[in-house]
Order: sequence, then structure tokens, then C-alpha cells
Amino acid sequence: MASLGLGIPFLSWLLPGCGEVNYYPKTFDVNFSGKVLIIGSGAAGLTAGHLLNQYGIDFEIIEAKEVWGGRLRKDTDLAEFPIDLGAEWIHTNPDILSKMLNEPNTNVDIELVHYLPETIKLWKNEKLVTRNFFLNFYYGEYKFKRTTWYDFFADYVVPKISDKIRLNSPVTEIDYSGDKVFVRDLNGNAYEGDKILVTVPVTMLQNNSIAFSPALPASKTEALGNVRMPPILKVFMKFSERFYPDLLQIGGLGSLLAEETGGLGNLFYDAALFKESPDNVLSLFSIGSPAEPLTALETEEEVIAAVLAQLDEIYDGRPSELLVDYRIQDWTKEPYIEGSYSHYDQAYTASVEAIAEPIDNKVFFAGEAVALSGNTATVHGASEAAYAAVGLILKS
Amino acid sequence: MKKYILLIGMVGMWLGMSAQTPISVSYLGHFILHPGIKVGTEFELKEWGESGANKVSRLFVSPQLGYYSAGGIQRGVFVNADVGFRRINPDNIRAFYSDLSVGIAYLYQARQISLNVNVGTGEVSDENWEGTSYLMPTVSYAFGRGWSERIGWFAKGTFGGKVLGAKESEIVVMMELGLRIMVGE
Repeated sequence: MASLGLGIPFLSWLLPGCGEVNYYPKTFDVNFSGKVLIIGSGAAGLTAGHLLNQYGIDFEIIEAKEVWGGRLRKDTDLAEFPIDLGAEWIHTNPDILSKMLNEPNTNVDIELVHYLPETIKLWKNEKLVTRNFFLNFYYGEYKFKRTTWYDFFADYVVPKISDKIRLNSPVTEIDYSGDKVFVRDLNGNAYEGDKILVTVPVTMLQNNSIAFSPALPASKTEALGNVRMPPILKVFMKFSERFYPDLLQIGGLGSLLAEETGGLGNLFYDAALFKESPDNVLSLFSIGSPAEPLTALETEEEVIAAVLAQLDEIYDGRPSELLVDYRIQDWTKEPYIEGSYSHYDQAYTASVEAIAEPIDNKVFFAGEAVALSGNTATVHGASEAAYAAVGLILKS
Repeated sequence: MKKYILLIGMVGMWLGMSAQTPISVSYLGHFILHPGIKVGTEFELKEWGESGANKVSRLFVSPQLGYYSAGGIQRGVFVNADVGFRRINPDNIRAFYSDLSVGIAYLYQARQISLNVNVGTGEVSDENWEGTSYLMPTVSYAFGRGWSERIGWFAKGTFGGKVLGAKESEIVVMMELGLRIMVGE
């Protein structure tokens, strides 16, 4: 999820996007030879480090948390297949993986499943109604079959740049008033670079977790006011029997198309679909206002009880009887994330461009929220934004 | 699959092709969005009407063969036979007509389940498609108009429901826009 890709498994083709421009140049014009500081080690930060490493540019990735990945995370204990706790779907053509990696000599095949749920139900007015024909409106959704988004970066990106990642280093200050850029973290460590690429979630910019000196321009702060990261929660439940369809949406068509949720709301989906696994894993993807009651709960026990209560109502108490184990990932409570992924209320293109706009040719921005391609809220959108920012840095 | 095509051919031969026989060729839209093609023919079972009336009623049977593709997502091929009722004006070939028909279809649908992608080149390989056969009753409504005695156009909408082969009931919607061509003497 995390950034990206978290979700939006349903009707994502309705999201804005354009496809003709090449957002993944295979080569860059390089006029730069200094050091780049990258703030954040999610998909955008890692992609940027990967590209700079390809060009032999000195860089350092400064990560607030104890692990890299941002909204990329996996669980390997609940089921016999790895589970994406964050970003999960590939919302575009499969060859995006090679574009993101830009390493033609890496001759490795990854198996993907084409995400085409066959049995689709709505829980509407206390009735379970079948809407299997929705299958015919799915386009270009894929998932990793035996790996995860996290594994993609762990296997092909991080090994080459791991020595450049500084964990447990929450950045608190960025001073770009002089020729150089100076950064200070919560531990008092100081970093110096010629350019800085900020890839933190927009929530971190909105809540002023990082003090910029000089302050961010008004155009950027105004644009940041147009973007939200609604609450989100993912709950993975392992059951001893499969009693559920491939997809179960709580609510009607309206909830599927609600802008606030990016077309989701409360969506239960078979997380093991097409993975040829003996395990029965049902996941809840809850985002936006439907997620608020769940993210407001204090403990995981309260959350799973609330989720099971909803399922029990639909399936006459069977879910509680059949539950074996569960995992809960509340990205809203996650430090340095605090939400789902970007939702723009107005002025989409202008806001994205304003947030992505570099400052003084020293401070650059990337991340899922600033994908100029229109692919915001996706992993590949974050990667595209990193390509764009790195292109500008190397050219400067 | 082959046996169904053969069956249609045999029915055609049995009913005789010596008289003028309409052949339809149409653009098919599976759920409107998925493009395809459909061909068919039609044989009169019965025609009745009062002598001198400008409207006569016709009962017909229409075997058809169709194919659609939704890119790399799903593909389908089907054969179906409709029995329909139509009111026509035999004295004015350019008059609008409409018909209502019911039928039964055999639909074979294939969906892409998995594939391999090379992270270096982006090349896709080892595509795994899963096919399922369905039996599907259909209801169709069509209307059209002749341009001449030999050719005309028609539009047709079909609703079907998978009753055999599907895990659960599922509706199918198909739209057509095509030409109706008279062949034979």
C-alpha cells in the first residue's frame, strides 16, 4: 500500500492516467557530479537511489523508520505464500517491472497472476447480491504470485544500495538556504549534500514534521492542501474453510465509485486468488470513511472482533468459527506514514505539478503523490516520479 | 466446438440454400466494450398474414457463430441458435422491422490466469489461460432496415445467463451492429 498500490484493485482504469509519454527513459543526460540526499526509502526513494547508483552518483538515503520500504511491507507467517501488507496490486502492464528496474541484463522471470475475480458479491441492504459480470470490466490488474512488491525491491534494488540507507533517522530539518543542502535528523545527526530529493508521504509535509529553511513556497503548501491521505486498514484473515467469494464489497455500486475511497470503501477479497495455495486467506481493504471506525479502535483484538462481526452478519456466524489466524496493518497509525495514498479533491494536475516543482534547483520531490504521468496512488507512479526527479537532478 | 460448427452447417444444408438466404455479418461488442465479430444466417419456419395486408408475421430460426477478445484478459467463442418472431412489410423492403427471439448458446470463454514477466526485458512468457464452457439461454431484440433487396443493416442486443458451467449465475450482454445480405437466387 503504501504508497501505492495499495490497493485500488477495482475499476482502477477509471483513475486518471495517460500512457503515451515515456516516463522511463533508459538513459539520462548527466551534468551533475555532487551528492544527493534522499529522504525516505519507499518505492520512490529506493528507485531514485537505484538510478543514481547506476550513474555512479554519490547519494545517501535517510529513512525515519527501522526498516526500509515505506508502504511496501510483507508478512511471511500467516500463510504459505508471502502477503503484501502494503502495496499489493500492479495497476498496469507487467512490463512495468522492467521499466522500473532499467537493467536489461537481469534475466529473471517473475510469475504474476492476472487479477480477474470471477465471483463478485455485494452486501447491500442486508442482502448478498451477485454481480459476477463485474469481471468483464477489469483491466490490467496483476499481482505477484509467489513474491510481493516488497520482494521486488528487496531482490533487485536494495542489495546494490543497502550500504547507502540510513535507518532510524527521522529528518527534522532541511536547510537549503545556501549553496549546499543541510539535513538534521531526530538523533542530531547532520548530513550535507548538493541536492536533496524528498520522497516522504505528503502527510509528513502537511503536518510539518520537517522544518524547511527557507519555508516551502506558498504555491507548494497550497497544493498540499488539495491532497488527502484517507485512513486505511488492511486485515488478513486465515480461515479453515473458504466460505467467501473472490470479492465482497460492502455497499452498492455507489461505494465502488466513491471518489473519497478511490472506488473501494470496505472491500473483502480473496488474497490467495490464483496463487495455488492450500491456505484460505480473506483480506479486508478498508479505506476512507468506512475505515474510520476501525482505525479509531485501540487494539487489534477490537479490530478483528469488529471485522468478524460484520462477516458473521453476512455468513451466519461461520467466520468466527472458522478463523485460524489474522494480521492487521493499520497504515493510519503507522509512524511517518499516517494514511493511505494520495487523493486529490481539486485541481489534480496543477496540484501534482506544484508539489513536484523543484525549489531553487536544489530541493526535488518524488513519491506516489507527485506522479506527473497521472499514475498517482500506485507503486509505478512513485517510481515514475523518481525517474522524473532524478532526470532533473542529473541534468542540472 | 467443431461438432457445433458442423451442426450449424448441416442444418443450413438441410433447410436448403437454393432460395434466397440472408447472411448476417456484424460487429459484436461483448459487454459493449470487448470487440468481436459474429456471423449468422436465418431460415424461415413459417409465415402468415391476411391476404393483401401490408404486415405479415414470420417465425424463423437463426444459427450464429461469434468471437470476441478483450485483449490479453479474456476471449470467447460461441455458437447459438435463436428462434424468433418478426413482423415485416413484404411490399416495402426499406421499412423498419424488428424482431424478438429466444435461443440457446454454447459459450467457451478463456481467461488469462497467470504469466511470467522478465524483469530485465519486460517480455511476457508462459501465459496460462483457463477455459470454461457454458450453456446460456438468450433473449434478443433486433431492429433494422433494408437498403435494397440484397442488403440492409441491423442492430441487435442480446441478454444471456450462464446456467451451466458457471460457478454462479452470471449475465452476459452483447450488442451488435451489422449487415444483412441476401444470397442465392
